[in-house]
Amino acid sequence: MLKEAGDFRSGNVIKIENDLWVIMKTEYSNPGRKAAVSRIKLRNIATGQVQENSYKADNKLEFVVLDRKTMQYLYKSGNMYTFMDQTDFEQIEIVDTVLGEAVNFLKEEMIIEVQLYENNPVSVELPIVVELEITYTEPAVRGDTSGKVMKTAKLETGFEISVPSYCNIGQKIRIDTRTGEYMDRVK
Amino acid sequence: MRLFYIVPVKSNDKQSTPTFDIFCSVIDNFGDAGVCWRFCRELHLALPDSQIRLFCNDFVTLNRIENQLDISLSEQVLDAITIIHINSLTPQRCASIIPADVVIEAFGCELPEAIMPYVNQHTSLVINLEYLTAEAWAVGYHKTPSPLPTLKPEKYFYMPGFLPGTGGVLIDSGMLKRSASVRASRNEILRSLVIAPFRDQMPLTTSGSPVLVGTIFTYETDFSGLCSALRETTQPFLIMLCGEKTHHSFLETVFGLPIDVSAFTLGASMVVMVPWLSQTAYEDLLLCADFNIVRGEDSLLRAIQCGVPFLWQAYPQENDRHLEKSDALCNIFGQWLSNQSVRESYIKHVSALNTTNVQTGLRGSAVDYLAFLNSLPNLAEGSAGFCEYCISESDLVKKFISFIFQKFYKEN
Repeated sequence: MLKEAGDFRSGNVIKIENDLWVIMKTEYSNPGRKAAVSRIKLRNIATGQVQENSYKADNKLEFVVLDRKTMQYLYKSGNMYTFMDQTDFEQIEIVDTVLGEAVNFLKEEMIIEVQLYENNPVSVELPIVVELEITYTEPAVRGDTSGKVMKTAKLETGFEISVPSYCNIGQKIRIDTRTGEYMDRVK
Repeated sequence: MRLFYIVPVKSNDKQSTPTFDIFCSVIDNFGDAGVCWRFCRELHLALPDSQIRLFCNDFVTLNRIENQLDISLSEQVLDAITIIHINSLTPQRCASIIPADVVIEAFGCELPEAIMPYVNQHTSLVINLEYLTAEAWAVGYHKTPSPLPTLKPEKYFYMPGFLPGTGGVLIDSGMLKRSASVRASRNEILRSLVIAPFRDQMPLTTSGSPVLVGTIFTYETDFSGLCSALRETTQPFLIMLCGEKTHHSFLETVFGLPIDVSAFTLGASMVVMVPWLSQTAYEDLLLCADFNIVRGEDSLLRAIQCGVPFLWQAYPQENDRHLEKSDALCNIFGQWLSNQSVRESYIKHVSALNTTNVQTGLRGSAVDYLAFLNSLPNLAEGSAGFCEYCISESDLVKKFISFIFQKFYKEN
């Protein structure tokens, strides 16, 4: 099925010639008076090759509809991540290269969508918003409540993100998994 | 200024020079047609043995750029370039056209459906030649592949730009060659653009300080700041206004309505409504000027190529996205201004020229024209240096041909 490049998201799979490519990251830019352009980072499911393609936002690409299973993330061992099917409780392991940037936001017991092609996991789709705890950051500067000054914070998953300077260790924050950016504090 | 000569690529006995088809869809104004026509001419100069065709959907606009074009003919040859109207590409016509080795979608122009089967059969490379931008994101897109399920040839994005890692800017070699002779004939050229009653009043030389010449070619703009500056300063200027939108904007500011007038005085200066000029004639006018205020992509590059101070007004976009583009250009050009306060002032002028006044809906109301006009000597060295850099390090046609040959000869 053909779909416009502007509608693709991380985790979607497209077919180029006879190869399946999973979209790892998308970026949009505006060159001029016409439609936006997008740059897509892709990984070849069979070979693991990574490349970047560019498209006009209204270019049509072959979107591959994959089997989807709702699974719960259990734990990590080395570079393998174990998930449990929520319907039959069967467990599968997915290597970190398939998960891509999703490893930055995976927290035990998180429910995600795993996409499969011919019964092999090829990508995952996270919730758009996840809540994670800050495990380390420099102390806040007194009086700066503007939110415009940013600092680096390490999350419980090990991922480092820019947060407003008033965020502290132990604080839970919400993150947009599509962009990997801080949204706000959990109240 | 160093002259730049394009050395034609010599054909290899075993390999022929690729042929090129450029597809251009005019949206509005003159930039689409202007850039494509210029690109075709420069490509031909660089590859004189190659067949180059320009497919355009608007011959009326193209005729304003190149007045030798006969708008009644759907196909013709000018300067060794074949020009074909896109509307003439019926399925029957497409069957007789063999698309070129390299097909260029200028500014993301969609190729006509009818020609696609033949492109898939005959073409080796398709290039999306995007709009010029000074923004850094262009680096990430430049020369990236763009494979599509309905397109058999390889396709790539090509990003014109000023930054290393982008595709360069379109330098006009003809303009470079004639710049010295044009400047030597400056007074004659300027006089030729003013109608008789005003010609004798033109302030081209004075017994005191020299007259400074400026050209202005903008979109709808609030020029009240410029009018005040001209009334206030004792330095005489000759202000050459180009384009209908510039004329209307200026006349509305001075007289309150767009009256029919060819020239008038403002303080010690004269303001001239320049009639419509062909591409070459407009370039010559820019070369005669001490500063140029320009709009759009093509005029920007011509102004830069003159090596004198310029201000740029970007094509207006929704949500003020054009401010990102003008800011990006200032960041690059600003590096050529060694004095920090000169750089900061310059950035303010460009930003103001591109910022919309929410009450009037016009841009440019906050430009401090007096400060800009007084800063011309401080901007001169940086403008000349930036021009030299673009010509010597950032030539689009040279870089483009190098990229094409790398892909084309690898393929064949």
